[in-house]
Amino acid sequence: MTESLASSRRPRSRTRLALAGVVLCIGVGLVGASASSGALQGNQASAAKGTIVWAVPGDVSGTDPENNGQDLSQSILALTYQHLVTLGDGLHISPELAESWTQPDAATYVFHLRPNVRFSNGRLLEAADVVGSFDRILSKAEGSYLAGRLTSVKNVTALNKSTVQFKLSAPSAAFLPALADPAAAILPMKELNAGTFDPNKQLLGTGPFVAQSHQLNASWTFVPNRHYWVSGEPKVSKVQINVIPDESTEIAALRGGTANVAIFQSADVSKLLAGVPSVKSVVQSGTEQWILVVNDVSPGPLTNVLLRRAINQGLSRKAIASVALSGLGKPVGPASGTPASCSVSALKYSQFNAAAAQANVQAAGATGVKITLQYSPIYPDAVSMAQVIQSQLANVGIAVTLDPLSPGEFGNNFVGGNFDLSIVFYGTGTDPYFGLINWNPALAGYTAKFNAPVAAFNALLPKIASTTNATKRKSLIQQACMLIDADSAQLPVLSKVQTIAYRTDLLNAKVLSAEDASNPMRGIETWTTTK
Amino acid sequence: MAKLLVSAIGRLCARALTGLGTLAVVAVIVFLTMHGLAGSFAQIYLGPTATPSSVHALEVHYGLTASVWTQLGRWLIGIVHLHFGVSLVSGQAVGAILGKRLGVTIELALLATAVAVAGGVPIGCAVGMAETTTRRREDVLRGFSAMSVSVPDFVIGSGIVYLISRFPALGFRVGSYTPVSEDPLRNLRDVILPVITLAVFPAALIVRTLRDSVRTVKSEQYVVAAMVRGETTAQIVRRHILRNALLPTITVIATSFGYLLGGAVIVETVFDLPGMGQELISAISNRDYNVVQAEVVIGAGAFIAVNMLSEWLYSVVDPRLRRRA
Repeated sequence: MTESLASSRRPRSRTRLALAGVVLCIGVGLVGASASSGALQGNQASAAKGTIVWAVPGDVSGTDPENNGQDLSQSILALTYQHLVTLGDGLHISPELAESWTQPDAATYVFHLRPNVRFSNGRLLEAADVVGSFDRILSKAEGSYLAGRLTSVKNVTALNKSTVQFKLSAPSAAFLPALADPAAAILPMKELNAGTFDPNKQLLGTGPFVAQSHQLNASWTFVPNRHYWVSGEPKVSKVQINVIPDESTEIAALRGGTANVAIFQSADVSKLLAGVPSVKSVVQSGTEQWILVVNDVSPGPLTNVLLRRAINQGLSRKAIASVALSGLGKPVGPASGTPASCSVSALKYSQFNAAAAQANVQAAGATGVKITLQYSPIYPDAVSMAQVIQSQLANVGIAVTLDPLSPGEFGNNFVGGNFDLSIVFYGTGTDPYFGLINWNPALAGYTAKFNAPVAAFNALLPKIASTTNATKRKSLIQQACMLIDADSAQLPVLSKVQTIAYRTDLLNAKVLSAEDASNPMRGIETWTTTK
Repeated sequence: MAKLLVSAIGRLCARALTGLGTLAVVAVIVFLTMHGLAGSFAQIYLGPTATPSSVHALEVHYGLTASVWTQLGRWLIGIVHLHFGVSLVSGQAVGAILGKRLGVTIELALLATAVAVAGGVPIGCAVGMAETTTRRREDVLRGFSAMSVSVPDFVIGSGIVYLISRFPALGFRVGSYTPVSEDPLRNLRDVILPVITLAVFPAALIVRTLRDSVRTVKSEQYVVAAMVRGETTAQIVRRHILRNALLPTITVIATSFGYLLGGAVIVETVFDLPGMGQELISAISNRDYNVVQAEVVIGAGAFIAVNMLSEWLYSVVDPRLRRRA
């Protein structure tokens, strides 16, 4: 007979003691939980007036603006950091910390700093801060990607406390746009050199907001910069940024009012939000584009230009936009997005032509060829596009196997040239020249393992960089685009869009549809809340 | 008595040493795994279009160019002193980052376990004690139990998130967390739905496990004897059945609780709760090595501690184990 536990003499008191202990543990645990989580900045939507609650899909990947290549990171850092010049309405260069500038000669720029601009610690902005910031950017030790866009800069000097001179090795039409790049942020160099400010841990800039608190991967709280140089701005008392990685949760937060503005990466979102009361969606496309990279360096069928052209002509960009991106995204040429970009309709091989594509496949002797297409599923649009591209290329006789990879693996394979086709997106940045660099392996650096150089195109680039006559420059850019099109190695597909959605009953916001991807919330300091 | 005490302390020390050894192995494995992942911190930070020279410069800046064994050694020495390093992304101390999140995860784990026990034990008992059960009822129960165990928590969670956003009049909200210390009622409103989502699976397991144990114990002769003596059903369950049937259920409860302490990744992401699980996902994506490594070690440590606690609970519930020891 199995012994019953009930025959033991003191089970009840011990059991009760144990139960009491468990209950006590739960209570202590909850109190402890509240004590430590009480240290959290509760990331709740404030019912109080004057708070913008901004939902973002991820947190910054680092806090040093001069060293960060991610748009989402830069869009958050843009609340605090500013530049000599910026991209204004219509993506034209506009003054920011520099009130004006002159050009004594074609290779010299003299910037006059805006008076009475202070960092958020109260110290006046000086020319030395600008000089030090650019010395830091140009220093190899810091590894800033912007250094590659400022190769024409010979030296930067302070002429006096409020005037900075840049001397270039040669005239460059891309120089001013480079200063509007988010990485060209002006840092408080006095504090940095004194060791009292570390941009990898703190934010200290001249922008409208100051970071009050940051819980990594959860939230940021920004409050107004008391020393901001624009009187009467910012117009809200707080910007609360909540990190909400899941898009459906972001949508729910917007619907429920726990966020009053949100950024979405997926093109479907505007359709999901259509019909939701009091929510306005603005689809922003600006300076980024989806590229189908064709590896023409690794041995294989893709080294044949006829097959690459077949791939190019086999893509119906309008159909990809319609099916994969909910009708959003426009066909683009290389480095599209800014006013100086090239015209797509003039690019012969980028026009959909299935018959010509099939003929090119046969001419290349590549009938029945099988290739793989790599992409990273963290971008939902890339997933949809990959499927549509697979189906379109199958129609012209090219069998494509899809190969989704985690971001780390994808990046590794991409830089190492271990792929046939790959879907990525490039930023034109602030000038077409910066986008076109991506087609020159020597200048881009990271494309050498999958992009063979095109001599005629490479010869055009320095002329594009140095020509300052707008009409001539546009013509050169168009020529460059046509050379890239004929080579068909990295194929611009569609403009990359993101959606900014906000509650019209909670927020008076102005969101433009053409904006630099790294500053989608430009002008946030002028927004107001309705409650 | 002294002999018993010494023996108990000895057993405890042996268990603790085993636990520490396990933790050391976990620490080494997670370190090597993270550093072996494709895509380094610098590559992720700068993006796939970064030049090799800028990637290298950043790695030098963050001290990531030392050999992996040197870095491992430094890190292990650090955690022995309970210093988990700093986040590569934010520069904040890892201890401070995780300290803020641990409270949220502990709260979710405790509440979800409590709800699972409060729901699962009575149901499991009742089902196990049912005198007669039709085949149909048995099929329904089995089906319901299988569904509860099989449906992933992200499906349940996503469905709930959709409902509460679609019907805000229900009074719940997502994308917001209020600490208990700030407003207990609001906190309860913020966590009740994720807690229920988390509790479904362990509750279903508790029901199944306890049902089977109760049915087995119910047929023992001492239970029959108690019935013959005229004890009520409640008395029989309380005095004879429950304690005997509880041991396997304690294992289920302990395992679930230990798992939840590691961070309910999916539920925290779906409901946007700032717990350990949510941090883990972001840290892995960003290759924030120190944060991931610390979280895994802390999660493993919590699991080991909970298992030790459950072994102690066995001896409390079953005096035969104490006598044998």
